[in-house]
Amino acid sequence: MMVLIMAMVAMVTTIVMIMVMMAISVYKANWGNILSYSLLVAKWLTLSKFSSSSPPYLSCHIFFSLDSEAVAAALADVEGAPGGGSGVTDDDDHRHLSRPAMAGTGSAAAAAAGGGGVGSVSDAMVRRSLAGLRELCQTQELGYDFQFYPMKFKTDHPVLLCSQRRSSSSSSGGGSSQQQQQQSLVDPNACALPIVFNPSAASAASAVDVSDLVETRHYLATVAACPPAPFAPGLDKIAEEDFVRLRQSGQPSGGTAAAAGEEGGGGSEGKEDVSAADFHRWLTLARLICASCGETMVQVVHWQRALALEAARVARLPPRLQPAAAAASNTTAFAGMAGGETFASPATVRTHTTNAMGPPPPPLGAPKQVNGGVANGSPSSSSAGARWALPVHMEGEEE
Amino acid sequence: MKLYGADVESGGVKLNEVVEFIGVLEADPSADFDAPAARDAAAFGMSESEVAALCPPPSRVPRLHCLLHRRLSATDEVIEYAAAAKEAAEGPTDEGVMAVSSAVASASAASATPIADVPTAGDFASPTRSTLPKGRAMALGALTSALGGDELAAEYVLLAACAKVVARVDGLPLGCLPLHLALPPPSPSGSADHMGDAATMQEEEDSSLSSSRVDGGDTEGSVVKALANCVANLWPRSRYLELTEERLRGQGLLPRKDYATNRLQTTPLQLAAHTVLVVDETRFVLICSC
Repeated sequence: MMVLIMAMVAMVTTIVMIMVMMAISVYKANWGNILSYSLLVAKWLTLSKFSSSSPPYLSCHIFFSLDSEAVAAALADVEGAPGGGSGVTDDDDHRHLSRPAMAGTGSAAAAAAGGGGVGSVSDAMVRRSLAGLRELCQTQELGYDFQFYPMKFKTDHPVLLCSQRRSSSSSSGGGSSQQQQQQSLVDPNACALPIVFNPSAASAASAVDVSDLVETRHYLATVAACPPAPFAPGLDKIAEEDFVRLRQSGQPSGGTAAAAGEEGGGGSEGKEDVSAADFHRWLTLARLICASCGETMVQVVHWQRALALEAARVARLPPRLQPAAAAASNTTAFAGMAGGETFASPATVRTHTTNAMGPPPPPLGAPKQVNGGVANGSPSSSSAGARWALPVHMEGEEE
Repeated sequence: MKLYGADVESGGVKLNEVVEFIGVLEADPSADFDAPAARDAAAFGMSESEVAALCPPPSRVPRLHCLLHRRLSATDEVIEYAAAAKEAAEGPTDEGVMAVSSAVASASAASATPIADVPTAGDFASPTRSTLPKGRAMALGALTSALGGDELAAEYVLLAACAKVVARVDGLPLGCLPLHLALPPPSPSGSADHMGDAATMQEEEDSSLSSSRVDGGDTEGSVVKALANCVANLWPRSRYLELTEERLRGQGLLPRKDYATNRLQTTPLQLAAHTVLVVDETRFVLICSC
């Protein structure tokens, strides 16, 4: 009788102590300890039901499985992932989302890692690496992992993405698959340019002389040392008019589907209108052309050259992105730009570069001619310089 | 690297900067831990192994006590290359001993380069306009050859590689031009053979130009590697990054801090400013299609 009474007193005392500790945990908002104490009470009562003579071992055991999805979700910080890792805070609901690994102090954790597939954990690493590379391309920032906190550092790296188009026969879809072939897997918003490989031209190219290589390096160093060139007076007005005219005409921009989807909501059924991103790319091209020519101010001829480059690039994109009439007639005319002048594809321009396509491109060493077209600042003067198209050999280059 | 006095007050060295140091190298095998640093680390209750990781002895990690240092840009590297080549031709002078010693590495790497008619740093300061068209034409010619005769792609590559961030608006950079070159799809007989021929030609061409070229590979990535070789020959800073399964699943691309060794684990993306990054996705398509 005495033994039974002492056992009951001990049980009641233990329960009271656990309840007090739970109350303290509630006061301190330590939810992990509450979970542990709850499990402890449940386990203690369950075991005492079957053997009241031997008090159970006061401990708490947490068992959870480490499958690939759980670990990947935990690494990617995906909220609400089934069976994730440590707890996360949901700021919207102001609640702490518990995870199986969120246990009280002293809890024994048994993790079954057999469910993870080979390399499944590294998939998160792949995604993080690609996301970092994409961020480097788009925002020129590189995230450093300091384990407890990330930190982004600003970078300045020209990026050239090289991928290989899949053949149309191997692709399963129609237009959408063709479009995806032109996009980079790393940065879908990158300026896409299909390469036209010409073996005869490649074989005819001569080897670069070492002295020429040194001079080429000097040229590139000079270009890199040039400060950002400002726009000539009046050029902003001309560029704005060209942008509005192209946007109203509904010509293909050559931009990516991702950029077009952001701009137009993706409801254009493959027709990519000119967006602000395209305009920004044209301005960037004009600046780069100016810098590559050694000029200190972006002139109209540089702007027209940028538009011509874009026209030639758009002509190489899949027919789905071309105007219907041009695609039907297998021509690559890019009309409606800069006062209605027609920029032809390189294949059609080759026969006109020396005669009827207007004045030659601006020579590198003749700023007078360049400034002559800008001094007026009128669209008429710019349209005269807009006639030359690709491929254009600048003065001083070898024919 | 130990900086003292004005070197520290001037801001020291920042991450991913290319810095030239002139100082005294300390590699005393009998020296033990760095006593002051070890004492500071021990004051925080660190164990002996942690102190050893933080402050390795000079016998294992030599110290360089800096006397002078300066930051180098990509343009400075080309200028140093030209100056070193010129002085190597004329013989070092008393005033230029330190300059030559600082550029020995670049000069020795390009020992096969003829040094006649090399412009000096003064020529760089005031580049003549007449030399620019020829340099532009040669750059376009080299890129066109690497890209299989594609002049349009060569001009885009030239412009994209010369791009730099001029401003940032709302976190978005202005002035850069990420370029995606979509290579022709592989064909069973025709174009693949041509690509291989062109790559072989380009590799033979590049073999006499630079020692830091990318090794040639199979047909699929030969054009990319030829482009990477050409970029490496023309630009002072370039990096060829091939996205492979092993690279992405292993170390990753993002730099991360290892607190056990108190070191920053470098990755291929940790580059100096204005480094042309050539990313090869031709093999990565196979991973995504799995």
